[in-house]
Amino acid sequence: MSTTSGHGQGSDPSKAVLWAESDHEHDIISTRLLGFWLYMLSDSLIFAALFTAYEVLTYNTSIAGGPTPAEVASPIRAYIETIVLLTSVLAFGLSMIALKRDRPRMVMAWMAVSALIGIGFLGMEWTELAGLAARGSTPQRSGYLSIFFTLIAVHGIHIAIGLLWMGVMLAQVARSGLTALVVYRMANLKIFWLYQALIWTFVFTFVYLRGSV
Amino acid sequence: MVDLQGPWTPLLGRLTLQEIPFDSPIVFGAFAFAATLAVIIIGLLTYYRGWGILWRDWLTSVDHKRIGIMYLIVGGVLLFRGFIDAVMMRTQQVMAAGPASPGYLGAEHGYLPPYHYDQVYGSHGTIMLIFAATPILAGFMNYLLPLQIGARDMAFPYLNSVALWMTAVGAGLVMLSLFVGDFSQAGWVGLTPLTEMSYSPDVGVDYWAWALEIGSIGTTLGAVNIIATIIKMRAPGMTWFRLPLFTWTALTTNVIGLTAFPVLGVALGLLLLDRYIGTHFFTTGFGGNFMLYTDLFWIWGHPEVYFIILPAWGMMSEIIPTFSEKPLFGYTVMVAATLSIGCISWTVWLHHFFTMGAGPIVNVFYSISTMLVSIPTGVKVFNWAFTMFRGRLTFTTPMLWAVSAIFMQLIGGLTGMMLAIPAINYMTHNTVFVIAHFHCVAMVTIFASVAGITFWFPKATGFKLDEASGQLVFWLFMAGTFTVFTAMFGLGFDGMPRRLAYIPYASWRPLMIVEEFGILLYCGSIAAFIYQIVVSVRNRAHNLVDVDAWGTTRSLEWMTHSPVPAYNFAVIPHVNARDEWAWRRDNGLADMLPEHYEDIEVPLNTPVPMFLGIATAGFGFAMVWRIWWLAAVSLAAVFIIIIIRSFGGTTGTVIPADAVRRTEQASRRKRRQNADNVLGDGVMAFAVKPRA
Amino acid sequence: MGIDNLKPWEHPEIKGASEVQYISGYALSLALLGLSLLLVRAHAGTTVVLVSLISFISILTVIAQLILLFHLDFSESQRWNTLTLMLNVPLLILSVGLTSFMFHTLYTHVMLPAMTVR
Repeated sequence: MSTTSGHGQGSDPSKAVLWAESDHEHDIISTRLLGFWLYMLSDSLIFAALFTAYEVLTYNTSIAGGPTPAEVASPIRAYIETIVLLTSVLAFGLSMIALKRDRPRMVMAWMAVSALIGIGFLGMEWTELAGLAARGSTPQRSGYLSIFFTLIAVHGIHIAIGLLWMGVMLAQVARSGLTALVVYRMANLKIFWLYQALIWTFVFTFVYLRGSV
Repeated sequence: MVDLQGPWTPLLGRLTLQEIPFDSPIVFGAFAFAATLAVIIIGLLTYYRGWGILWRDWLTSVDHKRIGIMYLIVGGVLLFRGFIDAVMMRTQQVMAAGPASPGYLGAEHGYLPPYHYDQVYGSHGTIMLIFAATPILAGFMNYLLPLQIGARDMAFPYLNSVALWMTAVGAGLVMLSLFVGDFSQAGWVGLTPLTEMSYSPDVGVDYWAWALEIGSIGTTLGAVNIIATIIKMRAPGMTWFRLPLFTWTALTTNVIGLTAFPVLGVALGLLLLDRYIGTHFFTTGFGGNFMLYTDLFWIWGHPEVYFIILPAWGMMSEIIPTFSEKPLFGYTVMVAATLSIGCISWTVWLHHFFTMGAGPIVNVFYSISTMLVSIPTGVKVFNWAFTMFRGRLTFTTPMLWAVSAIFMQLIGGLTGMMLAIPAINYMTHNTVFVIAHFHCVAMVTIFASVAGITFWFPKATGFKLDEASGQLVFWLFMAGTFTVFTAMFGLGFDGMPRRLAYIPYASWRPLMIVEEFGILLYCGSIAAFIYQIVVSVRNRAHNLVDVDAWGTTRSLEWMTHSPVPAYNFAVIPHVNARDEWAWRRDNGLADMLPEHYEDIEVPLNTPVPMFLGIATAGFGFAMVWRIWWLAAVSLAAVFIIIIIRSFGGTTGTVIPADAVRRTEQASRRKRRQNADNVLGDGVMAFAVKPRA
Repeated sequence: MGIDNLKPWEHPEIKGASEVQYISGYALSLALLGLSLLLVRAHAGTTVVLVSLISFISILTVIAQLILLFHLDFSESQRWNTLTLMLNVPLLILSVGLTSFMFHTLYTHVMLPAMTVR
């Protein structure tokens, strides 16, 4: 830090460049990717808050005589769900590889595969919650079941929005090819989709496995 | 679904004609006032043919400067509403002290029945923190950030507009609750289980929760935008340690906004699930834990306190050096202090509920972490003092406000350190001592905001606010603040609880009369402020300013014209020093003009954010009144609007280099020749038409 | 804003994708989480040991995913993502960890022992 000039880091005024050469190019793709990344960090706090609530509502007092975590959450089933979700993520990764090589048809094909597997995952989440509710373990039963249903449902809503987004991107790739707008949206969607698998890692560990320890 | 008290129809949900309070004279008076104001505004707009300007230049604009001004207007209107609430509360309390106090308008004591008084204090807190302070600061950040870092606009101009509309919709829902239905009677923090369906069966809590949910989406989106702007859009040469301090505080504050608001969203979301489908998160039975709500709320709530105060400190750090004619003392330390306050703000939230009884270990942890805040804050106070030390001080209105903000900071901060001691906190918990403490801290934001408005007003409009009436506003406000809150500290020491509609001890009355007197001073100050605006607009020809409105300013925003043209800088400056403008002025480079101009790309206006706002408003209203079909339709509309827009093509347009040169030359000529026209279109939409 | 990238797929943030990384990230994640599952099914250890083990494995899995699937590193194109994430993680730990600490202490002070079992 310069202390003599009083302006800190001031350059020599006689040689100073006063104006930018031209409007320096702001790279649209990296700016928008950063913006979306920041949004995903914000989203991670939503899950952090839900896990916070989960942490508090798994004591015996919150089970309130209802079903225990070990009875509600089946780790084997959850591991199958993990395989399905990660396979969908892998398919999306292959779609990004096709994007890198400028092959719009392959992009669409792999994304469709990823979306189909994603629908399967969403179906598994749905049948699990519906099955619990049918056996009388509804979210209204206890504080523990409230947070269990909410945590899985919020993850499911994220998955559903991701699927909707994939549908939109399929249409956009088909319509306008790989323009900069389409490419940055694909990259954002990749972050969004992979992020669901990342969150699922914690759901699997701290909801399903933790309940059976 | 939960059982509702009262009627419900598929078409209108819980909404019936009885929900509109015709019978309450106070609400009716407020409605008459609002309706008259609306008629006057609509009349003026029509008379001066303002609708086109309003649509083209404001509602559909994605220009960060206009969005910033709109944020300030939203915040200003809500600040006025929150102030009226404060006047009502103080008047009720002074009228309802002691068993002998008479009752009017259907109240047993005073003039507000408890259910009405409870709504007033709930809306005062909600409005002041979320829908007045937050939009006002967001307005400053929107207006100033791109200018301070030498950018043409924010990173995401369209998102910026969406964020504004979300904030406006949240504010709109709070205002609507005044006339249709009730507002929450459970305070701005929404204490569970009081906010649960069994204790608050009407729509008040729903209004409060949905308004906060929607408003906080706006804040989160705004935070994404501002952080990305600071990281990616800085002018060449604008290194991190050349950023103006306001930019640093804006960065820190928005990191808090980005990370804390989702937690509020979850806390309210879980509460709404309890209220709408009957889960048991915060209930007293079935395994709910109502302290979990308090925990989640304050995980957001405490960082939110710093969200509000940090930009205020940033503004003080811009204004004090300007009127001391010295660079800010200890810039690097100031930056470090700002960042460390941002970090510590995440580790102190339990001090809002020491009395939960989590035990000595937990309380000591949070007590110590709370006291740690005083170190960087103290550093800041000393740095401002050393900035003024041996400076060439000019006590203009902005400087007066900024320097008094330091005093308020001292009072608020030191009482905060008292409250950080659990043993004292157990005594003062829920007393008006706490109220007086956080109002003193909040006053830092108010003082700094008024300082900021006075300071940057010429940048936005081309003329200064009237100085003499500005000083009157300041002294009345200052006197009001000290009268009200000194008395309130006294009542707090006496152990007076907060949120009382009826005060059982007549012995507290004298101090409350003092408070009421202070409120009258505040009212005088508001009147003086309106007078100041009128005088300033009328006499603007005498208060015109050039590029550098105060003559001793320091940062980049003072390099461009006042009012700022749509493209901000004709040519993006190359930054050479920390206080670039002061450096250029001191080295005789202030008059150097760029040699050539280039085409400038600016984003096109778009009404899409407004459509999103309307759909979201429909969704919020429908959810409050449980009109399921409308909720489904408006939520679908939100998704459809977003998807349709994503298929759109280019959204920008180009201002050719020739046009830029012409504008630049014209604005120079105009400034010298035609004094009356210099208003510019920046304020045409709401200023009186200049006489020819 | 104008679209200046003529070949958007050559952008550094797109070019970073690689089959090897995606496939190894996939396999590694499944293997690590499978290990967790086996440990829990076999009840290999006391509650404290098991919970610490599966927590550690989940963090390893997430780090593997961040590097192999998200391609986070300190290169020019990724460093802001990495940095902001590193600043974000402490907040997650603080909010979950401190709440857990506070409620655990609260429950042991105010509740019957049977109610505080998890």
